[in-house]
Amino acid sequence: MNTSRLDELIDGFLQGKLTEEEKTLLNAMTSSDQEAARQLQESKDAYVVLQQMADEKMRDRLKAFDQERENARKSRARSRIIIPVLLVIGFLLLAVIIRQTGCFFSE
Amino acid sequence: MDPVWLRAVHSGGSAGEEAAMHIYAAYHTLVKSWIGRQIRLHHSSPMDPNDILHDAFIIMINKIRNGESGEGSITTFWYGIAQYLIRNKDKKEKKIQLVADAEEVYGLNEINPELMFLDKERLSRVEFHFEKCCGRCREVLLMWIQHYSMEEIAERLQFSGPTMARKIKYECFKKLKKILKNRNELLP
Repeated sequence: MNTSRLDELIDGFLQGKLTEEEKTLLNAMTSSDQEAARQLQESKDAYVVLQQMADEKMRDRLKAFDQERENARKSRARSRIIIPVLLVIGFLLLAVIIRQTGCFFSE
Repeated sequence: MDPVWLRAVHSGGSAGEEAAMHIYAAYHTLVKSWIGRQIRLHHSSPMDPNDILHDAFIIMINKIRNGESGEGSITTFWYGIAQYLIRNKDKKEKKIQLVADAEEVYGLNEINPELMFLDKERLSRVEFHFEKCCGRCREVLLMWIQHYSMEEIAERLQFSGPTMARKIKYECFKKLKKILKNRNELLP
């Protein structure tokens, strides 16, 4: 058995990149050689586990993205409240100053 | 479907990951509100729209990566998968309600040799063990599974070149297979 060729074919099979010809070759290799069949099965299993790991990583990434968006939305909402409040406080202070000094633009 | 994003996701690598996040950013609000409506209108069992949104997105990206992108728009594709997940979850919930209380643990400690699908706890044990024993292997293999080219892996992880990246990937995959072969030892 040509091990490196088998590894190449298994890699291609796992990533869905085999041509029809290569699929036939891999099929022939695994049906005539138990060791090759075992290797293919082990690789398939490991690939499924890797796919699970990749999916978990993607899920974490999506959650982080959502969280970031949510924080940005909250901070926008906060600033929408804070700005009018500051404006009102500013006007009130101005009114108090005008009242205490008695006039506005006097002398 | 947007052919540029689709092509990028299909070819994988860093451009593929970026395109996937573009798709998510562009449509997730729309799809999430659609999922929320579907759950409210047709389904009685409690579901988190975010979970459905994420699971459906991950399945969709894996399908696109494997060349199954469908005919319609990205959102239609995403809706279809989400709809399927909602129905499945609903069916599952109804089944559980019909039967007596579920056993706390069933099948978790049995290992089915036909199907290597790890429960969350066992998966994180494998990941932990893998990271502890094999340094950057997890990173290399996760990039490989996302169809990064060997050139990209070498560049990103600062290996001397694609041949070295291929060699490291081969060794890492071998180590992972060995860990999985002895997975019984990873049980608590």
